[in-house]
Amino acid sequence: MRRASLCVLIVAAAFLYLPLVVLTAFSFNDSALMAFPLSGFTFEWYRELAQNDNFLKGFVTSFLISQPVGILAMLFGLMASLALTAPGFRWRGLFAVLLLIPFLVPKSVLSIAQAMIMSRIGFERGATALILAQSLVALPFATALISAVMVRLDPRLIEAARDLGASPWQAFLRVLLPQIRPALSGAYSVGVILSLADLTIAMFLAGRTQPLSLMVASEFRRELRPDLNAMQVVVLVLTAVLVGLSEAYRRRRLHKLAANA
Amino acid sequence: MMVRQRHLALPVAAAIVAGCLAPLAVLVAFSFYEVEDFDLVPAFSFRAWGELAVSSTDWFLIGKAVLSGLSATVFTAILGYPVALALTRLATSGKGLAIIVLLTPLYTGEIVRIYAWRIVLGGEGLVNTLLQGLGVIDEPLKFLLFSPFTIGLVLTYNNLPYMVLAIWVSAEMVDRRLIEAARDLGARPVDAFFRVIFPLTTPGLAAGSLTVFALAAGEMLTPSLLGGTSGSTAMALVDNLFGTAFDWPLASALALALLATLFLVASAMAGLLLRFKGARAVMGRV
Amino acid sequence: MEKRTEPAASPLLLAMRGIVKTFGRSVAVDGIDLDVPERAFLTLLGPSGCGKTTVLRMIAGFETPNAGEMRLDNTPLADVPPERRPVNTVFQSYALFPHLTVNDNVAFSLKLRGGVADIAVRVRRALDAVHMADFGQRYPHQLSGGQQQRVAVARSIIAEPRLLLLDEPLSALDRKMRGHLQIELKALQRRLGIAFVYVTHDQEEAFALSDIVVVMNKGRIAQKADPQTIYNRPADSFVADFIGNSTLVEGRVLERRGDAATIETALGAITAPAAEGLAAGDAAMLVIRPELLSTRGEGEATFTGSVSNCVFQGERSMIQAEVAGVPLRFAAETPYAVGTPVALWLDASRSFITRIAA
Repeated sequence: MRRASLCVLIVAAAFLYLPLVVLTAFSFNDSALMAFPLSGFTFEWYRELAQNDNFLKGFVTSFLISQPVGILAMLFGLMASLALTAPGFRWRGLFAVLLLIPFLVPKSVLSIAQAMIMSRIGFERGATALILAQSLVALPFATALISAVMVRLDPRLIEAARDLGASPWQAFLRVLLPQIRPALSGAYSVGVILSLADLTIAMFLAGRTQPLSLMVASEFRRELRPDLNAMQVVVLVLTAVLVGLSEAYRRRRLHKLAANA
Repeated sequence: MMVRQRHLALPVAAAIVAGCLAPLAVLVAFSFYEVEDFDLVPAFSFRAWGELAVSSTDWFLIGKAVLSGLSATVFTAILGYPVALALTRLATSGKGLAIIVLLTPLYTGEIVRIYAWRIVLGGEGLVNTLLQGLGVIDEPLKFLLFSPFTIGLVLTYNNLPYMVLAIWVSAEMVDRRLIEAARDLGARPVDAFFRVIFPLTTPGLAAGSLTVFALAAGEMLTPSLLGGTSGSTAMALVDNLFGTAFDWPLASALALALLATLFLVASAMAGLLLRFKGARAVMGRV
Repeated sequence: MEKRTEPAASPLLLAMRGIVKTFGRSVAVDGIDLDVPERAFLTLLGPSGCGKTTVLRMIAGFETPNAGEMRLDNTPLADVPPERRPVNTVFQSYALFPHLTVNDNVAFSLKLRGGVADIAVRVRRALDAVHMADFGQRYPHQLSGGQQQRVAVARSIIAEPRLLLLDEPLSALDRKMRGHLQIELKALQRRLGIAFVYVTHDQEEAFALSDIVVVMNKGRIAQKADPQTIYNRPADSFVADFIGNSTLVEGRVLERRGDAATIETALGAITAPAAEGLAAGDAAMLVIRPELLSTRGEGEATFTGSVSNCVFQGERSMIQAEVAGVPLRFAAETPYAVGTPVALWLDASRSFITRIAA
C-alpha cells in the first residue's frame, strides 16, 4: 500500500514536471533546433538572453507590476479575512460568494468586460489597469490563504488580549498579526506569482505596457527559439525560489509557533 | 469610532463590485447597444442577441467550451483521486514538500507551460523521438500537437493541481479510523474507497470540479496556441469581435451567453455532486 | 430565600439583575440575578449548555446581555469594553499567546499600559505565586498542561483585577494534577483576597473550592447556597440529581409539619426534612443519598429487596438494589452477588424532600 502511493506520487510529479524538465534541457542544448536527441551543453542561449535589452526591459516591467499586485492582494485579502472571521457578521455567506466571483468568472471574460468599461469611461489601459485587474484576480487566493490560518487560530487569544487590557487595534497588532505573518507573506507571494504568470489579463489590459509574458507570446506565435527557452527557465527558477522562500519562512514561523494545543 | 472588524468587508466588496460586477453589468448594457460608424450608440436593440440566437457557430463554440470544461473536470478527477489519497499517507514533513512540488507548476507562467508542451509534443519533440527510437512508430505522431488531443492534455495538466488540492484537503479531514473500521468490517480497499472515502470527499470533489470547470472552460490561450485548426474558442471569437470587428454588442452578448451557460452547467454539476449522502453528512457537520 | 447562607459581612462587588442573553432563537441565560461579594469564591456549576460560561463571558465583556443590568463596584458595566473592565479571565484552554515567552505572556497587560516601571519585578512575583518563576524564558508549547494553567493564572492576576473569572480552568488536566491545582488555587485566592467566579461542571471541584455554589439549569439559577446546603438540601430535583449519586423517588406530600413532611412514595410513606413551601397534596421528590442507606440497623428494616447490580470501585462497591420497583443505590464494603436479598435501613432524618424541577 505504501509503495503503491509512493509510485502514484512519483508518476504524478513526473507528469507535472516533464514539460519543465524538457524546457530546461533544451535551454542548455547546443543546437538551435528543438529536436531530440540533445546535441551538447552550452550557456550560449543564456548569454544571448543577457544581451537582449528588450527582454530585460520586459522583465523589469513585469517585476515592477508584480510588486503592487502582491501588496494589494495581501492588504485586501487581510481585510476580507478579518471580515470573514468577524463575530456577528450577518452577510458572511454573501460576502464569501462575492469573493469567489473574480475566481470563477473566466479571466478572459472579465478582462474583456473591464477593457470595454475602461475605454468607455476613458480610463487608459496600461500598468495601472493591469495592476488593479491582476490584484482582483489574486484576491480570492490571498483571502483563502490568510483566512485558512485565521479560522484555525483560537478566538480566545484575541479575547485574552482584550481581557488583559488591549484595545481592538492593540490586540490585532500584538496578538493576531504575529500569528498570521506567514500567511500574509504567502498572500503577497501569490499576488506576485500570479502577476508574473499572467498573460490573459495582460493581453486585454496592458495597453502600451509590455510585460514579459506578452513579449514571449508574440515571439512564440512565430517560432520556437532557444533563447526563449533560456528565458522561460529563468522565470521558472525565480518563481520556484519565490515559492520556496515563502514556504520556508512559513514553516519556520510555524515551527516557532507550534501551537500549544 | 464604531468601525468594527466586519466593516472591513466594505472596501473589499466595493472593489469587487467596481472591478467585476460593474464590468459584467456593462456587458449586459452593451449587448443591447448599436454600432454606427464604428461608434457605440446607446439603444435598446435586440440585434446582437438575435444574431447570436441564430448563429450555429456561436452555439457550437459555447458547447465546445462546456465540453472542454467537462472533459478537463473528468480527467483531473480521475487522475486527481489517487494522487490526493497518496498524499494523505505522507508524513507531515513530506506534505510540506508535496505542497511546493504541487504548486510550483501552477505558478509557472501560462505561456511557459504552453511553450514547454510544444517542445514535448512536437514532431521532433520528446514523445515522438522516444517512440521512434523504441521502434513503436515509424512516422512522428501528428495528432500530438495542434489537435483536440493537445488541448485536452494541456487543460488537464494545467488544472490537475487544483483538483488534487481540493480532494486532498477533503480527504485529510476523513478520520483514518473510519477507513480502518471499514476494513475491519470486511471491506476490501476498493469497497473502502467507494463506500467511505469517496462519499466523504465529495465536497472536495465538488469544489475541485467547480474550479477546474470554470478555469478550463474559460481558457482561450491553450486552444489558440496549441489547438491548431481545432483551436477556435468562443472567447477568441469574442476577442475578435471586440478588437478587430468592433462589434461590441455581439461580443458582449456572446460573452454573456457563454458565462450564463457555464454558470448553469457549473451549478448543475455542483448540485449533483452535493446531493451525495456523504456530502450532506460532511457539510451538515460544519 | 437562601440569603441566610451568604457571608453577610462582605460588601457587594458585582451585582447582576435580570440578565438575559439569547443567541438567535436559543435563550442561553434566562433572566438571572446574581451577587458576588468581595473576596468570595463563587462557583457556577451546571451541565454543559446551562448558560454558566455565557454568564462568565458577559461579566468579562465578551458578550452583551440582551436585557438586565450589571454593576461592578456600583458602576454600570454596560458600555465598558473588556479591556477597560477591572476583570481578568483564565480561559478554558488557557489561550496563552503562542508567539510570546512565559515572561512576555505574563507581562502583556502591564506592557500595554505603558509607564509601568517595575514590570520585571511584578512578573517575577506573579510567577512566584504560581511556582513558575524558573520558566520565564520558555514558550507555551514547551510547557505541560498544568504549567500552562499556572502561567494563565499568573497572567491574569498580575494587573490585580477586582474579580478573576475562571472558565473550567482545570478541565483539561488529569485527575491527580487537578486535585493538586485545586488546593493551590484555593490558597492563592485566600492570599490575594480577589473574588473568584469559577465555572465548572464538576460538583466535587465546586464543593472543594467554593464559598458559594450557584447551580444553573437551562439558563436559570436553580440554587445558590454554600456547598453543605446544596448537598444536604437541594432546592429541587434537578439539583438533587446533578449533585451526587442519589436515588430520586417521586411521590406526593401527605402531611407537612414544621421543617419536616411525610411523603407517600412507591417505597411507602417516609417522613423527612422538606423544602420550604411544600404543602400537603404537592407532588415532590424524595432524595436518598447512598450514604443514608445501611445494611445494618436497629429494629425492623426500612426496605427489603434484592441486589440487581454491583460495581466494584476499589475501597468500596456501589450496589443497586431493587425495592418495590425502585432501584436504590448504596455503598458497601464488600461486593454483593446479583440476586442476593438485602435489608436496608434508611436514615430518613438526613434525607430530604424537595420540589420537582420545572
